[in-house]
Amino acid sequence: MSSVRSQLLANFQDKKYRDLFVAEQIFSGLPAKIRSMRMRRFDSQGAFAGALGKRQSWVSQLENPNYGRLSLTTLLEIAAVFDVGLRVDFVPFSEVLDAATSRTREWFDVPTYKEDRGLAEAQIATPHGAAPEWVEQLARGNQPRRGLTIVTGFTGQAGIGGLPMPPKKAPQIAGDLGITGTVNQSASGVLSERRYASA
Amino acid sequence: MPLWTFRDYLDAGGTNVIRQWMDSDEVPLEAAVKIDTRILFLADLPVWPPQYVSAITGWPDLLELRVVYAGNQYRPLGFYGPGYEFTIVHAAVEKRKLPRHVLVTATERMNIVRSDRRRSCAHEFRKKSTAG
Repeated sequence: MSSVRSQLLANFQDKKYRDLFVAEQIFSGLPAKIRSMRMRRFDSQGAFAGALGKRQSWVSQLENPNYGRLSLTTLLEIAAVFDVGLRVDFVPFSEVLDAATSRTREWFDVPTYKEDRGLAEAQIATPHGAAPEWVEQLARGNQPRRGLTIVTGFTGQAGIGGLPMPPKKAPQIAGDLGITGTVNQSASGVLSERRYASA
Repeated sequence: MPLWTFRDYLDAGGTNVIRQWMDSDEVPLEAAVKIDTRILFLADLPVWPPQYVSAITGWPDLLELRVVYAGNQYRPLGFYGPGYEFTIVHAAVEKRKLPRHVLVTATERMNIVRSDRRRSCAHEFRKKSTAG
């Protein structure tokens, strides 16, 4: 038998099928995703409902794939409570098909802002903690203060605000920022961190 | 790679009766797409939410996918195992309690598949009308 993807691709020749398929990717998928994220963050539907300022029965509907009435406003409210992003976009059908056939179980639970490892590249911090105003300067293209030491990444479990970053990315980031760098190694010879100081 | 594999019951002649049912006039395309999509999502979920799949009281081995369209309930019936497999053996469109004969047939088919795996195949997503 042909692959799931090729079978669905054949069905996509039918416009009605592909339009319905797009709708069901939202209405069948998001309730399961909402449920997974809610279960990790809240003790109950009631607790989640409280955070949203809604009733428990409303949350129950949200988690029901047969409800089918998710509004953008609702999704934005949920995203804010879960501290995750929300993307609504028009895309080619090939992307819909790829997403439907290459999903993993990780898809169902999105990391919060603080857990998001993908943000580690953007987390530039002093050794004593994050320096948001300095990050903002960088975002505007301003030069950092002279002599400031920047820790761009740690190995192992340690990390900036719980956000570890692969050390191999540090040189690239430092280079992009026009910062010269040094590499510090621990006594055991294991690379523990890289420090970069502005010129 | 999906965690779960969904399978369909084949009759003695090798016909996929689940796909046949989904392609029949009894199941509008809207409901058929819902079933296919639920299968795709469930295949990646380690634990299935009760809003998607539920047990059937009095029939401990059978479960049903809960699909609603236009006020009707489309209820594919199946069983777990072996491992991360779920085999759909029967289906019904029924708003209320499932008739006993439907559950008896589902149980008979479940026993057939359990004793002869060749009486099932990977779930067929391709509609008959688009089959090449």
